[in-house]
Amino acid sequence: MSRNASNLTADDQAFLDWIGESLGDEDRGISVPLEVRLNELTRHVQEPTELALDAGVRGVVVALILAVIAGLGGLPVWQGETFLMVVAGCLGYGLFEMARTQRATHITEA
Amino acid sequence: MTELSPEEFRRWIREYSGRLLSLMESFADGHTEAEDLLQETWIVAWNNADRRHDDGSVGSWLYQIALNVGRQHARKRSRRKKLFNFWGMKEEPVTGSASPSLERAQLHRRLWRAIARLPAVQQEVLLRRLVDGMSTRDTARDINKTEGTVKVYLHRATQTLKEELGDLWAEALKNPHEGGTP
Repeated sequence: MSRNASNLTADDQAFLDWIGESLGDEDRGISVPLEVRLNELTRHVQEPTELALDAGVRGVVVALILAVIAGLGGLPVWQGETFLMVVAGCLGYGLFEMARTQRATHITEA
Repeated sequence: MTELSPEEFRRWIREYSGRLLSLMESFADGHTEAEDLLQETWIVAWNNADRRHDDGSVGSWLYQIALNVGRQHARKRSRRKKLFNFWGMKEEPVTGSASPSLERAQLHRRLWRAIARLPAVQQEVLLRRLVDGMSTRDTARDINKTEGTVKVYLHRATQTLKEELGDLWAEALKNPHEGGTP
């Protein structure tokens, strides 16, 4: 690599300045919806575990509410083995929601 | 290298999103697609934040990520077009709001695409100069090369761009008030 070949001529400098000027001032600004989306994205990439746990707890609560409604509706959800199955179902649904959220976050990151 | 705090990352988003969006529009079919590419750029930036240099070159680092995302997108789109052509179908153009000036948008598109095609190290040196305004000496120190090597990279990048953008440069020289002031 010769030293001469590495030095920029005045024309090269002017060319680079022209590129810099042509690209430099262009700031399109971002819309409010995009800003909200990017902030939400920041939360997603920062707290995937927290989000998954939130979703899991939400899933358990939803399943429990459904079980209570079914119980009030006359189904024997409080009795013996059925009660255990209902509890297992609620926890299972919670785990399912947690896994789904974690997968979604993973896809977002990929 | 320090760990990136969420507050710092949000500050980057506020500071650079507008300019990066302008870059993404050079690779996208419309504003909506450019916004998606910008989002992808930020995801990649967050996931690779530990690899960045702590030397005041955040701008050029983000621009390099954005150029890679844009280039990958252009490649995917080209493959998709080939597939559509193979099946005798026409791909529907994605609609979005037009750029304020079509001519300026076309100039940007050509400039960014030419820069995106440069080898990574030349691109880095060039962007440090264009985006961060860094001197050859500072760039050489930060990337652990000699000043001479940095000059060679810059020289090669300039020659490649001149070959690719010669017509635009000639036009800019003829009309100094349109498309920059040479």
